[in-house]
This record gives sequence, structure tokens and C-alpha cells, in this order.
Amino acid sequence: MAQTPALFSSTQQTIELQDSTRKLSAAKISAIRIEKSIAITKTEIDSVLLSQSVNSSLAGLLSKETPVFVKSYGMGSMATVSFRGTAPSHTQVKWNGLKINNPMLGQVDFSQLPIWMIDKAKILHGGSSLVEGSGALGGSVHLYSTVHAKQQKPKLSLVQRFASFGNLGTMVSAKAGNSHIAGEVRYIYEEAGNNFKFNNNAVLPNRTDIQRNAQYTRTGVSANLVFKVAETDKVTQSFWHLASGRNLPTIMSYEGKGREEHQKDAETRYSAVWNRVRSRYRHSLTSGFSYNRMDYFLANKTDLGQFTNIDSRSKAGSFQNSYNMQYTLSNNFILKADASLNFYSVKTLNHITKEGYKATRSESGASASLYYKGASRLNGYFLIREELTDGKFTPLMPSLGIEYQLTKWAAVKLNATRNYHLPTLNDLYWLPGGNPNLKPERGYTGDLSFEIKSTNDTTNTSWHTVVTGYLSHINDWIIWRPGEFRYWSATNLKEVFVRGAEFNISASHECLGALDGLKVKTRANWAITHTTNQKPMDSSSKSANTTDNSKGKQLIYIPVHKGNLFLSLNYSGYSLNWHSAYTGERFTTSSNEKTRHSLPSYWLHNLSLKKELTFLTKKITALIEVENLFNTQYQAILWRAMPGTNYSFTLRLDI
Amino acid sequence: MIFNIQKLATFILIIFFSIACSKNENPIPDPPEPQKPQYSKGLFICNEGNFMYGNASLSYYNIETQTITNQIFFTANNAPLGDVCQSMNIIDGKGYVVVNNSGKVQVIDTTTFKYCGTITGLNSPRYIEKIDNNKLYITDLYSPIISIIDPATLTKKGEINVGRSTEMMARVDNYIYTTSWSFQNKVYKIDTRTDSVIDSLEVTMQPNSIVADKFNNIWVLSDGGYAGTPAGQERATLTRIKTNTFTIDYIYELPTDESSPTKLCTDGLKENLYFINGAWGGSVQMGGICKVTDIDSTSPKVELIIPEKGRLFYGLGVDPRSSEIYISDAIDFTQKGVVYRYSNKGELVHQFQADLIPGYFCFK
Repeated sequence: MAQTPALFSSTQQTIELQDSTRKLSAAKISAIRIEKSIAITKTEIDSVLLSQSVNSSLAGLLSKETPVFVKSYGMGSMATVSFRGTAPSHTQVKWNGLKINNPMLGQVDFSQLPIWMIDKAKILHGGSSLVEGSGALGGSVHLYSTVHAKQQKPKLSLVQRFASFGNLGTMVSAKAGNSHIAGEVRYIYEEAGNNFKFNNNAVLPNRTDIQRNAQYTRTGVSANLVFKVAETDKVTQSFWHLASGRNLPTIMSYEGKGREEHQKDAETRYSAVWNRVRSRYRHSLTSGFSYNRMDYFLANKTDLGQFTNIDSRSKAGSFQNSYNMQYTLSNNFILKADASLNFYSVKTLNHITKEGYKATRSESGASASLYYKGASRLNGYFLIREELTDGKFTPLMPSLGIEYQLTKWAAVKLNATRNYHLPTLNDLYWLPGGNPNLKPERGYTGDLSFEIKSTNDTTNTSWHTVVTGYLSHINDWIIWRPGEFRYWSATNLKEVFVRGAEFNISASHECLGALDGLKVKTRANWAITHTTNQKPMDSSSKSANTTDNSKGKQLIYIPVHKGNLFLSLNYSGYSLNWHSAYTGERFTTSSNEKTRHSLPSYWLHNLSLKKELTFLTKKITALIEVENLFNTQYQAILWRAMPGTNYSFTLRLDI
Repeated sequence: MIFNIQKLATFILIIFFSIACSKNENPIPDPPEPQKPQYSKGLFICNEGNFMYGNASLSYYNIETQTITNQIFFTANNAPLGDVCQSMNIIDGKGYVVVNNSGKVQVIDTTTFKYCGTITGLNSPRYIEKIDNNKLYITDLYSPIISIIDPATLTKKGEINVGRSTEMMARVDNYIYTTSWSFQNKVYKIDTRTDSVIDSLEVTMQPNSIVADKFNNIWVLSDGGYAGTPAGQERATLTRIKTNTFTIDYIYELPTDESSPTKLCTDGLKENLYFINGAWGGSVQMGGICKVTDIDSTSPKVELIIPEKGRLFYGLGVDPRSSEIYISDAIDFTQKGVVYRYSNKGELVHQFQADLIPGYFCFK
């Protein structure tokens, strides 16, 4: 697996921790604890949950399992992830140690990350993300595709999915290896008709419409190969390629002559990681590249044939290198350091208007941190990071984390961080409107969390609660300020104050007696986010605009309340899961107008039933899922049609 | 004798001049009686809304009572107007509301605001104009044609192939003049009897608005395009075109390259012009509402009458009856905009809140 810069250590230990169903030996807990969780606010999505969710999108899974906010335009359409009321570009995403945010847009389209190609996901909230790199003013998402060099039987997995609206998915993976070398190849193909019916109340008279032009196909291949060169050294190589083509549906009120609007994306990534683990030292060297193509096309169907309006083609490449080391100074102290050197190159051109730009960026950075694990109850870290971008130093970024074990089962964590986010290349160079003089966005974040964990072996019950309160202040927030005829320009204008709380509770219980073997699991997340614009739109040199009502108001599309609830019952190979997700009211104007300019809250419920059976050492899994159980009509984005109740059936074979 | 001839000549000249003068005076009607300012009955405000948000709306302002009602279309019809409300025109008592990115024109009763039909199947409609009782023209940004609509059935009965996108229209006699704005620099002359383009003329980059004046001239306002784009930027201009020869006879250059003027309009008598010379958050020389007078002379006067003063002027309309000036401030484009009502002398009469991005005014 790719070594992540800071807190994670050997693969073996990480994997054992991921699997919540396995019990950890006491010795391992103390060994891992010092590196793993010191004063870091994070959520892990383990391999078990990921492998159970190969059907759903990563965006959907994050929305169900974590407090992050997912903004999705519909099934298979663009989905972005943001933390704590920040922008999607404030969410830094890494795959096997490579930054995969699009350097032009700064964000990641999570619909392009199939769970089938991912084994582990880790989320760092707020300032905790600085231990893995800068720029994540909201938080960061770390994805890993991995294979382990261990004695194993060759394994083949096949998954076929059939779903409503002509949606299909085929997934294949093959894995083999021994204690020196192991490899795995995965393949995914998805196609979707997405021709669902919906009540179109955006046209007169209202009518039932069928969603048009929402089809997509997606093909992905990934491969992982690990060599254990010596007991202490291993080299892991990972490859990822995903190509997708999707049509983009019009909004509900469209009654024009017809359009052809589509987007094609292709991403190719490769990373190689060399890990060395000695008794006191650990090193990892990561090198990789990514190449991304994004083509957008819009044409109108006219009486004189098709009239092409936009034919935009963008290419973005990156070459990334990083080195991480950690050295155990004593029983109490660990020293860590990392350095990175990355290059980005971007080219974009609209072939109709001939507008476009070419740009490059070089980014280097280094950090050093000291971790302390007290003999008694106090743990903590202090980190300092510095970056150099195109010859300009960002100011120092410090992060401090303190954790205090109040009792055997309760702990309190404190984190304070200063972070910077660089303007995207579009912000700097887009024509017209890009602004090469932009400053990085500055964020100060503090969070305080309280954690209670309890396991009772005699009753087979465990529960875990985390409550986190946070404050964040982001200055020089870059926005595109509109002007006439869509000539918008980027400025460091906004000042945003974010405060809120995240609640997470999970519990599991294994029944004895009459219901022997019944396992019950439940999990709930709730996030309250107040994220307000602190600075009204003033018109630079002139007097402030007194009619501006946006000061102190919630940013658009960020719900104050968001929550989810999960309940799972497992018995004798059957598993029944119920997921419920709540999205609160969202405003679509900066002044938070209620009438006609806010989207009502909605609850969505999903139910699934799974049966696993073993047949001649082969495992067969059948899964039936019902999404949007109560056929809720809702809008995630203004006047974008969403499907009602829909079904899928999945068959999985593991040989 | 000589003296007599001189006398006679003087006499003849006097006679001649008095006849010439009386002839000159005859066609000019008596000046109208000075009277109280007459207002339009009401004002429809097209609130564009955000592109791709589908949150365009229509507001109605009662000019007499100074009351504003927002979301009149939704309230009357329980459905949204659509995506990006570009313009509106009242034709034979009905309101034609052009909803650009929904590819349609909603037709409403101008009193009850009830929907009475939709012209669908358009591409990216911008402006609608009545040609005669059987014919409406609709210009289009994302299509090379002007659609010809039958007002009785609200269906398309033909099209004019312009070959480029088209924007505002101005009419003089049997001819419609329209501009191709987006990345273009052309004014087209269309014969409404044959529905065909008969001539075109090159003007400064990006002619975004066009009006006809009382002297049978047309005026074209060009924003000049954007610096750094392949199409390049030119100094923004206001161009006068003689319609009888279809030639440019006067060009006013805006004072600096930063100017990107928009929304050219006339007053009711079509003898003065107004436009926005917006700073869009920066600063620009003569930023605000500019008025053009002496528009038939060889050197019309352009003066700043309402300075922008930190506001973001977006829409402009002049009441054809009272010549009062209505200006919208889009603020940050993501909240309700403000409309300022000024007297023709530039004194603030009233200010009120419309809806999201008020961009176009249509007087009832």
C-alpha cells in the first residue's frame, strides 16, 4: 500500500485496525496508538464496509457514513464533497499518496471514484488534515488501493448488478500472491440509462416527464503490485485508469428544441511507493503521475442542423514526488518529516471561441513534526509545514494537537491549525476573468472533541461516541465576482466564519440466548454547520454597498443540519440494512431568502437485504436494494430532477 | 433706377424669405400643452436569476402607488418561470416573457399574470418583437436563426437564417436591425416583408444593444469584448447608423479601455439615449448612467447623470411616458437586487427590492 506521509505505519497494523470485526491484541493497540490517533480528528471507512458497498458511489457512501456534505446533481452526475461549510476545492483528496484534485478546478468529482477500485478511505476533519498536506481548509479524504504480500490463494471475484432505469454494472477482480509478491487487477464497467420518471412541476401544465439525456458509461481498470524486496523493504505500484462519458440533462424547466450536452472524462494515475521499516526508522518514497482529460461539449439542435456553442477540451497532468520519514526518539517521542516536489501542467481550449490558457505550476513543501505519547494520559503533536509555489513561499503553517485521556473510556482532543489553500489554475489564468495576482486563501481552524468508547465483553456490547465542536475562519476566500455578460473575475474577497458541531455515535451488540448469533449495529451522525459570509460585497475602492444583505448569512447550498442513521441486523448469513439520511433546508441566495429561494429539507431512506452462502468453497452473495424507499420527491440542486423509488439486484461470486 | 432695382430686390428677398419661413413653419405641429408627467401603468421587472439555477422570476411594480410584488408568475401559476429571464415585451395586450436558458417564451395576461401559453422549441431566445398581426420575431444566442412565430397559435412558422447569433432588435419602417453580439461585430438589416437579411455592417466588437431614434437613425452600443481573448478587445463605442444609406455616420468612443457599456435605451420621444457605463466593482471613468443628448447633431453630448457610487448597475429602463429612469443593482448576483427609480433630472424618487438579478424592464 502507498505510504501516507504521516501517521500511518506498517500495512499490517493498519489493516488490522480497519477491520472492526477483528479483535486487536492489547500489545498492538498500544503500539499503534502512539502513531495512529494522537489528537487527530478522523473517520475511517473500513475495507469491510467498502467491500459491502461496491454498488454505491463513494459520494453516496460518504454522505451516508460521515458528516461531510455531498452535493450531487443526480445518479452518475457530478458529485462534490465539502466539509464543515467550506468549498469543494477546500477538500483535498489523495489516492495512494497522490493528490488527485483537478489542478484547474481544485476539486474532485467523486462520481469518478468507484468504490470497486478502492480498499480503504480515511477522512481527516478540519485542521487535522495538515499532517497529510496543506490546502485542505475543510478536510481531506485519503483513498487507498492496495494488495498485501502474504501467502494467499488466488481469488477471483465477479459482480453483476442490475438496476432500475436500465442501469447495469459489471465488476471483476483477480488477486494472487505469496509472501514476496502479490498482485491484483480490477475491472469495472457501468452503464446507465437514467431514464426515470418524475413529476415535472417546473413546466405548465405540470406533467410526468421522463428524464432525458442523463445516460452515462464508465470503464475502469486498476492494478496493484507489491514486491517484498526484503523483510524490511517493499515496493508497491498502483495503476488506475477510468474513462467515462456522460450526457448532461437540462434543468426541469427546459422546453427548447433540444441540446446535445456531454462531458467526457479520463483519468490515468500511477504511483510507486518504496517503504522501509526498521526498528526505529521508517521511510517511504512515493513517486507518481496523473493525467486527466475533460472534454465538454454543448450544441443546440436548430432547424438548420446542429449549432455547436462550446467545444472545450482540457488536459491536466501532474508529476508528484514525496518522501516521508519517521524516527522513534524514545518511548515518548517520535519525529516525523516529509518533503514533496510536484509539477502541474494544464491546457484548456474552447475550440469554438478559441478561448483557453496554458499554465504550469511547481509546488514543493516540507514539514516536520514531533509526536509525544506520555506515560500517563497526555499525548500530542506539533507540526510545522512550509510550501514554495512557483517561487513564492506560503507563510508557515503550524498545527498543534493535544489529547488527554480523562478516564479509561473517555478522552478529549484539541486541535489548532493554520492552513493555506492556493488559488486553482482557473482562478489564476482563466480567460476572461482569471487573476494572476490572487493570494492564497488563509484558514485558521480549531476543534475540540470529546470521545467516549466502551466495550463490554460479557454482554458483547460496544459503543463509541464522538462530539466535536469547531471554529474556523477563512480569509481571502476566492470567489468569482460577476460582471456583465458572464465576464466574472476571481478575487480574494470573502471572509467566512464557520462554527459547528459534529456528533457521531455507533454501537454494536451481539445477542446471546434465544437470538444467539444476531448482531445488531447502529450508527448515527449529525452535523450542525453555521458557515457565514462576514464581509458584504463592497465595491473595492468605493463606499460599501449598503443594500447588501449577505453579511452574517449562511453560504448557499450548505445545510445547517445534516444527519444520517444506519441500522444493521445480521443473522445466519442474512443481513438487513437500513440507511436514512437527512438534509436540512438549504438557501440558494446569499441573503438567505426563504420564499422560492430555499430548498426544503428531505429524508431519504434506503433498505437492503443481503444473503451470503457458501457453495463448494465458493462464496455467493445476493443483494437486493431499494433506494428512496418512500418515493420522496426532492431537489438536491434547484430544479434538477431526482429519481423516486428505485431497485437493484446484485449477484457476487467469490472464487 | 438702380435705387429702385435695389428696392425691388430687397422687397423680393423679403417676400421670398417670409414665404420660405412660413413654409418651414407649416409642417411643425403646435408644441404640446405643458402638463403633469404621465406615467406608464406599471412596470414588469425580469429577474434573470442565476444561469442553470432555474430561479428566474417576474416582478411587478405599481408606478402610481410605488408598490412592488415579486414572484408574480409563480404566485399566479404555481410554477417557476424558468432559467434566465432575458427580456419581456407586451404585444397586443399580452406579456411575452423570454426565458433564455429554458428555450421558451411564456405568454401571460398582463393584469392577472396568468399563463396563457408557451412558445416552446426555441434554443436560447433573447428578445421578441412584433412585426405585424401575424408575425413575431425572436432572436437567439445559441442558434444562427431568428424564429418567426405565429402569435395566434404560438408556433413557429418560419425562420430567418442570419448565420450568427442575434440580440436586440430595432425597427425603422419595414426593416428590423439586429446585432450579433457574442464574440461578433455585425449589425444586420432584415426586410420584414421577405423575412430575409438584406445587408450587414461591421461595428466595434460585441454590439450588445441597439435602438432606433426619432430621426430614423439607429444607435448601436458595443462593449468592445474582453482583453486577452483571441477575438481581442477594442475601445467600446456608441455608433450612429443612417438607415437610409445603412452607413455609419458618427462614432462616440468611451473614455477608457475599462469601459464595458451596456443596455442602451431611449426615452419615450426617442430623442435622448441612456446607457450603463458600469464599473463592475472596479472603477471606471464616467461610471454610472450616461445620457446622450443632441443626438441628431454632428457632436452629440454624452454626460454622466447618475454615478454608480459602489453599486453594481445591471439593468436600465426609461419610462416611455414620464422619462423616469429605472436602474437595477444586482449587488452580488446571488441575492435580491435593488431597483432605483430616478426622475429624468437624476433625483432619486423611490428605491425597492426586486428579485434575483433584475436585468430588464418592461413598461405596461
